[in-house]
Amino acid sequence: MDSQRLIQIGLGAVTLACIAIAVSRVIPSSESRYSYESDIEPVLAQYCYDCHGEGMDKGGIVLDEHLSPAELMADRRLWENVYHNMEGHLMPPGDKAQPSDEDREKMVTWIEGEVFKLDAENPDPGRVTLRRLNREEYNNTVSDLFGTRLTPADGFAEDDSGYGFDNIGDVLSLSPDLFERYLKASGELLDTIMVTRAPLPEVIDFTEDDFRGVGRFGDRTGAMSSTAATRVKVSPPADGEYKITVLAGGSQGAEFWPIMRVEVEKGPTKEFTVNVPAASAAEFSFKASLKKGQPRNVQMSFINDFYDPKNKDPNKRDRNLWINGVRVKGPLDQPVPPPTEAHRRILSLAPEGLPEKERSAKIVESFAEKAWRRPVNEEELKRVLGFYKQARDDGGSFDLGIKRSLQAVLVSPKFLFRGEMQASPDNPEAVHEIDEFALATRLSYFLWSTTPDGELLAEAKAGTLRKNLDGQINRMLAHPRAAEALTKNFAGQWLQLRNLRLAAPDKKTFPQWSGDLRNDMLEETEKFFATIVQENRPVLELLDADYTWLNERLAKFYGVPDVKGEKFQRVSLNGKVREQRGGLITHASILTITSNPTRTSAVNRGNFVLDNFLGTPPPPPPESVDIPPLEAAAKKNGEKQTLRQQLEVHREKKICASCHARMDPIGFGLENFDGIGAWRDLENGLPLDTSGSLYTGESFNGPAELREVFVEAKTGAFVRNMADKMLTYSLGRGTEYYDKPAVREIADQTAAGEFRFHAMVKAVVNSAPFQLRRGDSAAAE
Amino acid sequence: MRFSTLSRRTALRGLGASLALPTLDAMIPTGLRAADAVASPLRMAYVYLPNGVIIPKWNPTGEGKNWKPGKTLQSLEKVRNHVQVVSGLKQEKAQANGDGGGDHARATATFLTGTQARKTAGADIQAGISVDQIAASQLSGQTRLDSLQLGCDTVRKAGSCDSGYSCAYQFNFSWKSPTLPLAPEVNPRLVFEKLFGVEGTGEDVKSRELRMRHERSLLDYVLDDAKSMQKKLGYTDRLKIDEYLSAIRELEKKIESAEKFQASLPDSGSRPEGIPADYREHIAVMYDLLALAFQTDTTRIATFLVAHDGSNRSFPDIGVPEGHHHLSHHRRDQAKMDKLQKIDQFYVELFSGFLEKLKNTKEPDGSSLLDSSMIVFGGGIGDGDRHNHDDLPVILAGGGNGKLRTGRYLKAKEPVPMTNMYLSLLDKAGAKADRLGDSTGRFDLI
Repeated sequence: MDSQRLIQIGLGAVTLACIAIAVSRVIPSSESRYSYESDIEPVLAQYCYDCHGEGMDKGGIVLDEHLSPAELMADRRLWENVYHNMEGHLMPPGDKAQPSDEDREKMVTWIEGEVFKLDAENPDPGRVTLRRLNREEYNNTVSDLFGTRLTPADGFAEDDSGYGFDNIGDVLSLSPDLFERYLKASGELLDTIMVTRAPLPEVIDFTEDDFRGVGRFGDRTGAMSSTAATRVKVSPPADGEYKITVLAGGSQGAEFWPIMRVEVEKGPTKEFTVNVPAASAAEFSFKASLKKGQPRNVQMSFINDFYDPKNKDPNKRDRNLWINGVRVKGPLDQPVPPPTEAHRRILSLAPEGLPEKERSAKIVESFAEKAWRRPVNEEELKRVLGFYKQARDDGGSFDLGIKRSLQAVLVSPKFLFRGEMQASPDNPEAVHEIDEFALATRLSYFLWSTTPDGELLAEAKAGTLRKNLDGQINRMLAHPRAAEALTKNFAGQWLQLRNLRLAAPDKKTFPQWSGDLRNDMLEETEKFFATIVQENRPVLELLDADYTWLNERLAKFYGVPDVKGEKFQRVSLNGKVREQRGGLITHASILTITSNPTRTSAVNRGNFVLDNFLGTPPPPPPESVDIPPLEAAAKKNGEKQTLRQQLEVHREKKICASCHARMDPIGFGLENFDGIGAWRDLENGLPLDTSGSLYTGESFNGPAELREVFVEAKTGAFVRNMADKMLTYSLGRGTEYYDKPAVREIADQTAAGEFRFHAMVKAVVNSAPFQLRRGDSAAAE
Repeated sequence: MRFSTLSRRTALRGLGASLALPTLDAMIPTGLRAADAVASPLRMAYVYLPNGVIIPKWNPTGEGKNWKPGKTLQSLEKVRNHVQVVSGLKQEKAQANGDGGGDHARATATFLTGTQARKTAGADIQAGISVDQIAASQLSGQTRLDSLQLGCDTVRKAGSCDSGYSCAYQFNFSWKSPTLPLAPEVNPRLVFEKLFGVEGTGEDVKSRELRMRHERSLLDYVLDDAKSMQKKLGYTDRLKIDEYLSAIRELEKKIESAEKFQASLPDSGSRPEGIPADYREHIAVMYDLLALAFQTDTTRIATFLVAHDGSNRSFPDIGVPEGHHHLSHHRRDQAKMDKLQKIDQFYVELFSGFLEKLKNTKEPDGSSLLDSSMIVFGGGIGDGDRHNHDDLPVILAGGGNGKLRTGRYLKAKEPVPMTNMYLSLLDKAGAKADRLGDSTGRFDLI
């Protein structure tokens, strides 16, 4: 189905559902359009009380037993439940009488206005807890600040995630260990970028194991009781002067100590009188010039053996030499290397001709402004420059001073945390627009997962970002960084693509499985999502599309002809393959992560779609159900059974059916795809029954019809859910009941924008939760 | 006298090769162990086993000193006189208690804390202080590192975790405070660096002094920055800055410790290169590093989250290609239970290898490292199918400097909160606590 048609269908479906919403929004909040007695209660009585009223309490939900109207209205949890089920068409169950769409709208609107007390004129934008940079963001940020590709955060512990994402303010904690790593990482990073001292000489140690040649007894211990020699082979890492040290000791013979001759191949020769006993071996050193790539032998010989057993003093009878080790250190006295590109860039933050004091201030101020994502005041600058001053007072160079100040900038909480200052931060009634710098920061981390660039900061400084917001969003989305960051971080977590790393399909069951195939699957989905971002395609193509990205290996795997080479290319899906595939749910990546190592899992796949596409995940399984083993049903009357047949028991028991009726059919519809996403017509030789119906009644047979159902009937739910996820990701907090109007608004605007990706992004950025924040209420609790 | 610092060239050995433990004499920093010259210091460690076990194959036959290990615990036979197999321990706070699904998140979160983890996918996560951190804060300052957190889960799951619980509950084991988990380090190379520092860079005394002074100035500076930032923030945000401030204080303490206790680089040990590709090797290297940390007295308190509860890892090398978690819902299917038993055995074998290493490591007073340790090995789920949190599989290893009655199968007559046992262990370690999580007293039978 091509995009035009997709858009038409989608628009149609959503418009119907939207009419009531559009109407109600025009009405000022002070007037309540619906009243409980005349509009809401009758609906509940007609459609819900059979199970949830008049003495009935299915699922623990009771709608009519509150002691007072006030209590009824205060039971927000209850109404959140009703809201969720009404909006998602989850209640009443499919086989019962259904309220009309108007009734549902009435309910939803009334709940928003009267229970949640949401006021369209004064939306509650919520607040985001102070977010620290996560690993990905830290790496990207320092890369952009310095113009490097270093990734120091790879050594940090993985970030905890919440609501499906690893950039949630409340969840990102800062342990002592992490803080220490920040300190170390910033120091090492700056040391790498701004080398302010000569490289330290390398030290190469040789122990007995490295000695070659012959001691007296033909071994390599370095003990020499007779004229002999031992040697080590030195491979100098660079040209230069080296210090060679031999750790040696000896024993006297007559009055004399052993003489050790040290010869450097093609180099100097030195002789030492080793005049210490072996037990307190000493260092004997000299210098030699060595060249890189020219390994040299360093040989130590014992040249004055002596043995007089008749000597009166037993300690002077036997002259021997012991060599305990050799150390080669160098090159010594190397110069400070010329500055790196990044180093020069830092120094160029101020013109060269300025006097030092001003120059240092300018460099540090410019850097700090970029790093802290806002202008730096005089007091702050003075304190940071204290590090420069200290380094200079200690005799350090200008560059070292700058480096010290920059490190302070990078370990400050002003860098690590994205603060959004507001007046009256503890007053939950106080709602503020976030300032231009906070807006730039949110925008940048949302679309590029990195710190605001020069252009965004300039707009913020001029106070024109909000005015030019649309233009800036366009600019950022057009840049390849947007597709890269959003694919890796948003799609990667929303669609759980990161779990592909963990997938472990059994090679015996799936001989086609390989590391290459895993990489291919991931790349297909990533490139597909990136296309939607870059080309501003309708997000409905995620549900079904007539194209995808393949290379030769994956194309063969899918049965798509005429794709050659390792490189990925955009491929149109036609004919038989088009019947089989199109959209995320038919990508091998998603089919694999929703399978078990040895077989498919209809339940997992159904759950994935409900949770990640439709936003209506089923509740967790009940605790005390006796569930017979799956494999017990593997054979019935001695005959093999398909997975679907084995799962029949899900329908037989009512307590299971209520949730499984939602999940299983979707999975059955996808049973043509095996545990690694390859097409199959049979399951272990048995024919497949891929028919089913969604909980809301729409029926299908096979993946093509399943996708058609999504496109014809579920775009509203899909877009709303994606909007919710995108809002969560962009804000760094989970959505709450008071965000529901914003989520719907985003979904509506996306629909109005032909469901295009950019339309959704803009709707998110322009939403109340993104533009505003309110004070904290926690102190009062 | 020998050259004692390793150079890059001589130190690099193969990937994840089992570390050679250095001889002890070379390790003792002079003057350091003066206070403990009489007895070896007491070490404690907690090691996690996910997804429950096949209980009938886990439980030994026989009683008391006459216990005989079954197939799963067979490898413990070599150290039978140094361990106690304990049964009858429970973690009531790992039960739903009204919160619905999420046993795996709860199992990991309660194992060391005994508290009901707050059910939240993100905002305001809360568990409790873990037993190892109670010990670490009371015994702080006696070693270079107050405590060590190890793990082998190299990749965290994306998306949501167990039934509405934040992933923080499953992938962290130690909790410094009810709201601050301590992430386990999974890279052996980084563990090594944490213990022994990055190899000597030939820094001279003057540059070292300057560097340390700079570090202290940095800490003072960020302390001020944080305090001034905090004044302008709302309540929840101020708590985040509190984490930052605590971290600064911890680092200040650690710098002091580092100056008191020089890092004792092992003489002949080899520095691990990174994370081994083979799982068995990864676990083994971590155990080796733990033994090394104890032996060098770099720390005396450690936790090791071998795998998070809910782990769905497959074990093709031992003939189990299916995922662990998936299998653990065995529904009494014999084939599945047999495979699970193999996984249980796999984990126990690696633990036994660790205990053997400790046994073979001699302390200056002649005893072994195992004699002076108290190690808890177990999981927060009993039977993976039932998801029950009582009758937990637990092994208490080590002599605790004579304070533990080793070499037997100890069956509690009535179910006992595991936290009671922790209080007893804390007593023995000299880190008394009145309560821990849901404790009701002590369990001094151990």
